[in-house]
Amino acid sequence: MKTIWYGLIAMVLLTICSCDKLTQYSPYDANTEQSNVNALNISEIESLQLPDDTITFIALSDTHTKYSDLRAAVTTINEMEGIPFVIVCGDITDWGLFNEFDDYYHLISRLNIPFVTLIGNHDYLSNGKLIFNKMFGPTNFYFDIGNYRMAVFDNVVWENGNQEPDFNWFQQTLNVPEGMTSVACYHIHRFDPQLENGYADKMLGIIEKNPVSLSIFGHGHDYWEEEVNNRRYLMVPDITMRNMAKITLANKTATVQILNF
Amino acid sequence: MKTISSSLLLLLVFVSGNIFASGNKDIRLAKKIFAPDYLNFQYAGNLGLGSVGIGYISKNEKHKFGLSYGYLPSSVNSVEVHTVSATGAVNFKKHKLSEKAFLNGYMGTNLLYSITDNTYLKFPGYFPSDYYIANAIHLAPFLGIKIGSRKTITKFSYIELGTLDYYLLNRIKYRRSKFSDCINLCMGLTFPINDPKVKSD
Repeated sequence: MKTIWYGLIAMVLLTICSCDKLTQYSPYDANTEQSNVNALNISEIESLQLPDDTITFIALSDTHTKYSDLRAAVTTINEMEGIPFVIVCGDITDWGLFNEFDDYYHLISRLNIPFVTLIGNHDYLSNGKLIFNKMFGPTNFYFDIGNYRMAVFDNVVWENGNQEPDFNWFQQTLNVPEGMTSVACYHIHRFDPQLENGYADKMLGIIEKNPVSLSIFGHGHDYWEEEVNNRRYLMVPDITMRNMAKITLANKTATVQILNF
Repeated sequence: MKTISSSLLLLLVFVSGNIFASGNKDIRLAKKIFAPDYLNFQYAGNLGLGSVGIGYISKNEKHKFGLSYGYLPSSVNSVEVHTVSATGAVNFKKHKLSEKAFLNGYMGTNLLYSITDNTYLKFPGYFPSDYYIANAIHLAPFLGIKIGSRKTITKFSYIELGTLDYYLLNRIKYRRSKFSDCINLCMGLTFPINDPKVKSD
C-alpha cells in the first residue's frame, strides 16, 4: 500500500516539474505569454522585397480547435515555395479561451513564414477580445506590401456587444493612394444575419467605392466565389475541408487557386 | 453579482450559525445537520486566484461535498472573474502516514459557474436561439491527495490535479500538443468549524 502512495506522490511531483503552466486561475483568464504577434509578423512581411508587382499568399480560415488539420496545413505550407505569408481569416478558437489561443499560436508559429491572424466571432467569446488584443494586437489593422494594401477589418457584431463595426476606419483604410489596390479581409460574410441592419450594404458600398481587388472572409465553413458590381469575393474554406486558398495578386487582379492538403 | 452576494450570504449564515449557536436543542440539531464541517481556502484550480468555501463530510467519511466562491482580480491578468462552485468527491481508502497523520486520495468534480465578459448561461436576445450553448458553466474533474491530522477528519491540506471538461474533450478529440497543457494544480487548507470528528480507521 505504501508503495502505491509513494508512487502517487512521485507522479504528482513529476507533473509539477514537467508542467510549464502549472496553475490556472480560471479558464477565462487572459494569461498570455505572447504579445504583438501580428505586428511582429507584419514587420517581416513589409520588409520583403518584391521582384515585380506579383505577390502570392495563402489564406486559411475557421481553424477552431481542429489541431490535426491545422498541423497538416502548416506542414503543407512549409513545403511550398514562393509564399511570403499566410493570412488566417478568424475563428481560431471555439470559446475564446486563452488555452485555445495558446494552442493555436503554438501550432501556427511552426510556419517558416510570417502569418497574420484576424479575429472571428468565436474568438470574441469570454474574454477572447482582450486576449486577442494582448496576443495579436488591434482587431482593425492594415499593412502594405508592394502596391497592395491588406486591410483587415473586424466586422463582428453580436459577440462585440451588438456594436456597429468601425466603418469609418474601413473607408479610410481602403482609400489607398493612387496606384495601389487593396485586399479586404474580414470574418463575417455579407449574407450572415449579424450584418443585417444595413451593415452588409454599408460594407459592400465601401468596397465598391474603393479600389479593392479581392475580398476574403471565412465564417461560412465552405468555399465560394462571386463577383458583384465588378468586385470579387472569396469565402475561404474551413480548414476541416482540408482546403486552403492560394491567392496571387498581379496587375491589380487576383487569381484564386484552391489547394487540397 | 446577485449570485455572488447570495452565495456569500449563504456561506456567512452557515458559518455564523455554527459559531454563534446557543445551547438550544433545536438549534444544536439544526447545526448538526446543516452546519458545514470545515471551511476551506484554496489557491488556483479554475476557481480564481483564491477561493473560500465550506465543506461537508459524509458520516461514513467516504464522500465530501462543498460550496465555494472564487475570485480572480483584474490586477492579475486584466480580467475579473467571479466563480461559484459546487464540489463532490469520493475518498479512496485512508492511509496511515504516521501515528499523528493520515493521507487520503480522492477524486471528484467541481461544477463551476463563472461570471466574466461575454460569458452567459443564456445569451442576450440579439443572438438567435441555440446559436451558442451556455459558456458560463463547466465541469472541472480532479484527483486529489489530502494530508491531515488523525485526530480530526476536517483539518487537512490538499493538492488537486484538475482539468476542465472542454479541455479533456479536446484532448481526446483533437490530440492537443501536450497533455500537461490541459491539467492544472491547486492547493488548499481546511479548518474545522463543526465539532471535530474523531477519525475511525
